[in-house]
Amino acid sequence: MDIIVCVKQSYDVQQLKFDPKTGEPMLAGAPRKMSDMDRRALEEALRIKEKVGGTVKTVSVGPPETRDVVKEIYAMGADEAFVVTDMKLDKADSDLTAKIIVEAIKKIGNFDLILAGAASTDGYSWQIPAKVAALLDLPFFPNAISLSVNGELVAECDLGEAIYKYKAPLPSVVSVSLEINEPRIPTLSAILKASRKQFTDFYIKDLGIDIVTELEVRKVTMPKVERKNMVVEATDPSKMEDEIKKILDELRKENIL
Amino acid sequence: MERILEYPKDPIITFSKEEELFRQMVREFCEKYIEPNWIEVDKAAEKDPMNMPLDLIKKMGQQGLFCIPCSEEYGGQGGTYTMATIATEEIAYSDPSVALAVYALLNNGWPFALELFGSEEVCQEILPEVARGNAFFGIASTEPQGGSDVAGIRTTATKKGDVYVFNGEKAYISGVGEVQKLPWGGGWFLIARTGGEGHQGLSAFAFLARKNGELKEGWNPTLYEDIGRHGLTTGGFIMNDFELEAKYLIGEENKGFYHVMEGFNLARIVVAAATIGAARWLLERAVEWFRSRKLFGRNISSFQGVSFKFAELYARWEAARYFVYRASRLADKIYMEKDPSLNPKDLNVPVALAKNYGPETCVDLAEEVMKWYGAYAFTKEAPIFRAWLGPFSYVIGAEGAQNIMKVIIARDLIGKEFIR
Repeated sequence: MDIIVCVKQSYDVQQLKFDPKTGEPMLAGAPRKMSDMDRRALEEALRIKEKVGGTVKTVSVGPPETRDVVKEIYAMGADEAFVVTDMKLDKADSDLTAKIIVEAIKKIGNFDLILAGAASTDGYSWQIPAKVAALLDLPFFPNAISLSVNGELVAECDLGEAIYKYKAPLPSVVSVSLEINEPRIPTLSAILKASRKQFTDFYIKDLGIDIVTELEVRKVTMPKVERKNMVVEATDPSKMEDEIKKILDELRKENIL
Repeated sequence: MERILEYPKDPIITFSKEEELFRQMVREFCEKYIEPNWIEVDKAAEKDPMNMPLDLIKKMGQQGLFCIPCSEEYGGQGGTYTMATIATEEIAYSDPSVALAVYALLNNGWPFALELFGSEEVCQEILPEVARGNAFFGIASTEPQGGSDVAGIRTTATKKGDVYVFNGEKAYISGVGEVQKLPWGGGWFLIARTGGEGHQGLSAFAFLARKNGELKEGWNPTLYEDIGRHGLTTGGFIMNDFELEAKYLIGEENKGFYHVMEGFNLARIVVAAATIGAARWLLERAVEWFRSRKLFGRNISSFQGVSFKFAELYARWEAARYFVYRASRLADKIYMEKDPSLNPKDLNVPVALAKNYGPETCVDLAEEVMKWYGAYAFTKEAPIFRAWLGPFSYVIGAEGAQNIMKVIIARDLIGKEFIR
């Protein structure tokens, strides 16, 4: 079973700081990490390989900092990592990213299965895996919470209103949810071995793609959450029950109770 | 747990990408397995010291958090000493009682000291088991008459044919319970007298009280009830004609004092790392408290009596952190890179500074945080006291008394003959 996993080096949103005046994220020098759902996709690929054999290759697209994710990819146990980087790709939209991933996959060679996180930790568009499947003209199964491969693909997908169980031929594209597994934490010796492994850098011009984005991101800001700051004065013990009722009514009004 | 304080961006003490990734992975491990459990571990072992967290030790072994600087051929991680320091700091941040950090630091520092001076056969036998979390390997130097006077050790090891026969008593030794309960067993880098009086009559041994799950005869342990850091046992043991094969002698006979002093230097770096980890947790509890606690209509940190003290303690923490990583980088240069311009004695002062400064900063900080918390800190519901009593063991004197650190600094700077 030869599996290709799409792995993004995303911003570590938990550590992102926001400009208090503009509400915009301060991205310069912001820490990055492997996107959470992509990490689970890689874990799932490694588990399949451990069961049925084969190879796990990864493709990562983004600005030059993306190369840093390769250490973690190898430390987890992938066989080969491929990277497409360009300064301009920091602002790539989902169409362009999917196109680049597909052209890179064509260069990587044969595969039985493509896995990706259902959405990235930072962009969170939920679009890339579906677009990759469409461009490759392959069946697509979104938001898988379980996956098994035995000649054919069996995926349980959480589609919101229900969990659907699909059986499908290979090759296919599957996007995975956060629930699908608990990814391994690489050991230090795996990290050290990973740092000695080489990876392949594809250049945009070799893929025959122009970096043109049709989507313009005008602004990214932190949502403002206004607190109601409701104060209930409960100083008179004889009226305590009324005051409690007042709090409960308010909570019911907000659908909290 | 939300990280309230950003880790300092530091152009002087820098980390490689591998070290950064390793720190991230250790944090992830700690967030998953240690942070949710450390208070329960401390409570359970307070009731009975033999309630040690064996499952967690096993998991830490699987994650490669022991024998970090040891060679891969001995089951180690093949990392740097700084990587052991990073791991210890992060484990202590997630378990500020420092029990698990102390388990980890002992099982990084002393296995590495064994690898430096021990035979290949003995390393091959012990280190893979320690690395996997199946065995404990710490330090047994202190005796009932005191710990600081290493040259005055009374335990004897008399060579009879192919074995050494041990008689004597060790006290205040970490890991006495773990050696009895871990699947394989383990023991200590133990110092005993093989020659005449003074430090030149001492030898070091890989003293295995239990191996392959079997206790050896002539070893009579006892456990103490500690006031803190319960997740790691402390005890003592009496050796009555305890026999150990001669191959377990570490390095040369009667050179044990020099070997153990190098081991102490290595172990003290990670001891100080544990205290800066716990201190970072304490600093964050302080900031969290300041942001929510109001008195006289304002946050308590708006009183300069509070915020200035916080600023002073933060400065001490940064300084302690610098001492710790400066010493561990120096250890990397001496032991990993084998820099010919340096020798092991160059670690004496940097390590003594770190060991002297880190634990005191942590304990002083814990006391202040408890005062800022007010009466709540005096209840067992607030966990701050656990981060006070655990690190306090290192102010009292574990791994070298504070005054001994000052003696080392004064001796090396002023000159041995001028401080007698």
